[in-house]
Amino acid sequence: MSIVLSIKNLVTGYKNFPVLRNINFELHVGEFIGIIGPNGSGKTTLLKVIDKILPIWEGEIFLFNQNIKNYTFTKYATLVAFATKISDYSLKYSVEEFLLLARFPFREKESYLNIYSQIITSLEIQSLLNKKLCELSSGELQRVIIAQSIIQTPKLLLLDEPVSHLDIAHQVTILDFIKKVSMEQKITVLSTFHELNLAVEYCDKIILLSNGEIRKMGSPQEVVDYKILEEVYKTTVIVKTNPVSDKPYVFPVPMMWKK
Amino acid sequence: MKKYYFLIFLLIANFIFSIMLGKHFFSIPKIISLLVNRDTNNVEYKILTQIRIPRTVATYIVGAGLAVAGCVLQSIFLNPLCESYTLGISSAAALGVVLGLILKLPIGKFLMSTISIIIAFSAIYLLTLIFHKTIDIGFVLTGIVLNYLFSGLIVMLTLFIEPYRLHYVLLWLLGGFSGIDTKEVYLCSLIIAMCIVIILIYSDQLDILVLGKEKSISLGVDEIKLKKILLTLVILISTFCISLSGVIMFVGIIVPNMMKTFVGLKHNRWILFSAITGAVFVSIADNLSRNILYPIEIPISVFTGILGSVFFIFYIKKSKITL
Repeated sequence: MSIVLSIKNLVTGYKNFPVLRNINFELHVGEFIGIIGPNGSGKTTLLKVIDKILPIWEGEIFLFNQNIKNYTFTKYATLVAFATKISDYSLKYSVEEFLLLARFPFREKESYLNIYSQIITSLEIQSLLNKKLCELSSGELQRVIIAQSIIQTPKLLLLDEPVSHLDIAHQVTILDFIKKVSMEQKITVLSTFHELNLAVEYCDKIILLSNGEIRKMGSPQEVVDYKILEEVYKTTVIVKTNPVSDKPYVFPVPMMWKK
Repeated sequence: MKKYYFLIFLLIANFIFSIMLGKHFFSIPKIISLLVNRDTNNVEYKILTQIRIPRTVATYIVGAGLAVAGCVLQSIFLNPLCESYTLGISSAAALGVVLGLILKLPIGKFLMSTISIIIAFSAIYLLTLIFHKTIDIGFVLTGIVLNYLFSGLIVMLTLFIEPYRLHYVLLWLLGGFSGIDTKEVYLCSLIIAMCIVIILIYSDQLDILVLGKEKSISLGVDEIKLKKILLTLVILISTFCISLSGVIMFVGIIVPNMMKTFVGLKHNRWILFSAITGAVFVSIADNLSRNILYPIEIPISVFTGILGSVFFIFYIKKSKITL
């Protein structure tokens, strides 16, 4: 499998405060990778530095064997999409206008949404097209932002907590759809997760971050081990096997049950 | 499309109406015959070509310029309350003019205010880049701080001005189009119009820019570079607007916000509509200011301020828009 992204000895952070250290990994075509870790462990920072939003302090990042410093912003945007939050000011856009902005990096003369009707139907946003973004619920907005990133037709899709505002039905619909798009169109997906069990179900590999370093990277079975999780999250958990998928399943243990 | 036609019609109709109005009323056939005959010794021809047409052109270009500057500043700083004056530009210009008057410099107020704004803005620009390294709300804050600094200096300096000159400074601070120079008008119009056209070329990048820093980079817009280009254009526009007409309040806030609720956030439409509406708005205010109490000319800010804010308050209430 050819390598999409490779990160070598990456160090980065905000102002004078380092957040990520010694990051090394590679992503291959069509993989679905989850990033998990406690709050403040650097999950979102990792996505930002891959998307050229944060500067690289040390180390290098390569996309398709080219240093990302050598890409122009526009060229990079045709290859990498980042489904991230948008400013409150821009909530005056209608959903349709907002979705079409995804075609900006391609400098098309005319862009039409009906080419992307499959994406819009699958993410259940066809009834929202004429609404303004500020009229949407947070879950609807999240679906619209993900739809925009898929309309951007990237080779590498970065998602920041894609299902954090969604009900369980939509969590499954959205992740099913992203998984399907990823497999059909050979899109590599790198996504952060708070919900460990969703990460386990959908991801081919999981990266566990702890204090800005990769604690463990590997298949869900390798990473979701109660010893590792208890050490990183500093809480008691029980790991069982999901009877349907045979993948590990994590229960947190509340204080009242601890002996 | 209908909206476009309506606005262009308004633009032309108001232009004709503006050059008709005045102490000597010119009917349309008279204007045509004056323009056809081109009799340079005719007083009425002089009034038309050296006073009324330049003045109307000036109101149009200043209105359009201030409105466009408002749109762009609001989108750069993601704040609907930004306009040229929140950047400290008016007091910078005023300080320049006051200094020129005190030192009895031989250059006119136009040049003096242009120079002083450019100096002031380089100061803001440098301060911001040194302290923040990015162009965000810190830029606006620096502008507001400098605004107070310059205002303080102006008050101090006015103590050294003769009373009759003080009146002149006050009038200039309130803004207006009386006694403008034809050449200055056409020069400013050219520069401002060019800046507006360049901004319109950048309108698709502005569409992305307002999504915020992260999203605009991820959609391929070099945010910092774009902001620098746009700010330079806006500073140029504001400089020449203020040098031409003094301080005209509110246009840069009212017009863009009103147009945004009409046409949405797509910048090509929004900026174009704001430019046309701003032009007509300032022109109407100027017509009122020079005709209502003739021969006394009421400072134009009285009309833009009073009319604008009253209208805007009702507008906000009615349309339930949130800034």
